[in-house]
Amino acid sequence: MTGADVHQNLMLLLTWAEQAPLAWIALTLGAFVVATWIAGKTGNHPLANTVMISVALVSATLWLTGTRYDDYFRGAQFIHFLLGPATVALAIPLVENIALVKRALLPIVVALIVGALTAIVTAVGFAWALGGSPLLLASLAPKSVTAPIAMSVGEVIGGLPALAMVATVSTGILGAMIGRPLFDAMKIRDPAARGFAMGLAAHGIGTARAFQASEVAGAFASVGMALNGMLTALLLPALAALFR
Amino acid sequence: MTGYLPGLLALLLCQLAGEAASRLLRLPLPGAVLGLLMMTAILLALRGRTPKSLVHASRSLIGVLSLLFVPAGVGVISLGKVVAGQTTAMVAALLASVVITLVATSWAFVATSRWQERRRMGQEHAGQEHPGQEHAGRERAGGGAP
Repeated sequence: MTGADVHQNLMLLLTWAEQAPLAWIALTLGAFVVATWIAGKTGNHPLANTVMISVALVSATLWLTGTRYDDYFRGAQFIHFLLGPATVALAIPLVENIALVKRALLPIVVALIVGALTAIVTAVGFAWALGGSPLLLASLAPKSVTAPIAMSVGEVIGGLPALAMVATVSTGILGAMIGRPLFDAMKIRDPAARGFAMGLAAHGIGTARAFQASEVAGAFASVGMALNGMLTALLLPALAALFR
Repeated sequence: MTGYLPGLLALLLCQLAGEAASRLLRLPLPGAVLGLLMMTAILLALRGRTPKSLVHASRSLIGVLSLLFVPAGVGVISLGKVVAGQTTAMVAALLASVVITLVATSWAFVATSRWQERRRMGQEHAGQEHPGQEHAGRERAGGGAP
C-alpha cells in the first residue's frame, strides 16, 4: 500500500465511524465508565456527578473531532431510547415498597403539590427576573420532570425541545449534587422525605442518586419522579394558557 | 441465558401500550409514564408475585439510569446560539429553583408526616383512661424542624 492508499482508507474509516452508531455508543459507554471510576475515586462525592463528567468527556471528544451533535445523537439515540423502558421499570421498586408508600400517602400528596408548583414557579420566576427570553422561560418550566416528559411538555407550551432537554439534565445533575449536603444541613434524616424530594426535584438523575443511599429512598424517589411527571404534564399546559 | 429477556419484553410492551394509548386518546401524558402506570397496576394485581425476570430487567436498567441521560445532556453543545447571552440566567435560575424545590418538598413531607403522627398519637391518648405522659418521649427522633 502506498501512502496515498493509507490516507484514503483512513478517510473512509473516519467517514464510516462518523456515520455508524458503534463509535458513538462506545464513546458514551466509555465516558460513563471513566466517569464512574473518577466518582469512585472521590468516594462518590456528590460534586463528582457521573452524568456531568460523562457529558463533559463526550462533548470534549466531539469538539476535538469536529463532530456535530446530530451526527453523534444518531448513534447515541440507542442509549437514549432505553429511558422509556427504564421509566416503566420504576414500577418494580414502587410496588415492592407499596406498604411504605401507602402509610405515607398524605405527606406524599402534600409534598407533591408543594414541590410541583415550587419547581415551576421558581424556575420561570428567576429566569424572568434575570431577563430570560420567552423561549427560555417556556423551555425551563418543565425542568424538574424526567427527560421524555420535559421535552414533549416544553414543546407544547412553546419551548425548544433541545433546550428543555438540557435544562432537565442540568437540573438533575444540580439536584443530585446538592441534595445530600442540603438535607443534612436541614437535619432531615427520614429517607422517605429525602428520596421523595430528590425524585420530584431532580427526576431520574436524582432517583439514581437516591438509590445509592438506600432502597427505600430510591423507591420514594421513583414515586416522586412519576407523580411530578404526571402532575406537571397536566398542569403546565393549563398554566401556560393563563399567561397567553 | 433467557434470564431478563421476558422481563425486558414486558417493559417494552407496557411502554408500547402506553405510547399507543397516548396517541389514540390524545392524552397529555407521554407513553412511558402511561406504561409505568400500567405496569404498576399489573404488579399490584399480582400482589407481590413479581416475576424474577422482571426484577432482573428492572434492576439492570435502573442501575444505569444515569448513563441514559448522557446523550441528551451532550445536547448542550448544540445550543450555542439559542442561549447566547442567557447562559448565566439559565444556570442561576436552575440552581436557585432546584435548591428551593428540594427544601420545600422535603420540608412539606416531614411537616405533614409529623402532623399526622401527632394526630394519631392524640387519638391514642383520647382512647385511654389516663392520658399519661409516657408517650411524650416517643416523638420521632427523625430530626428537628429545618
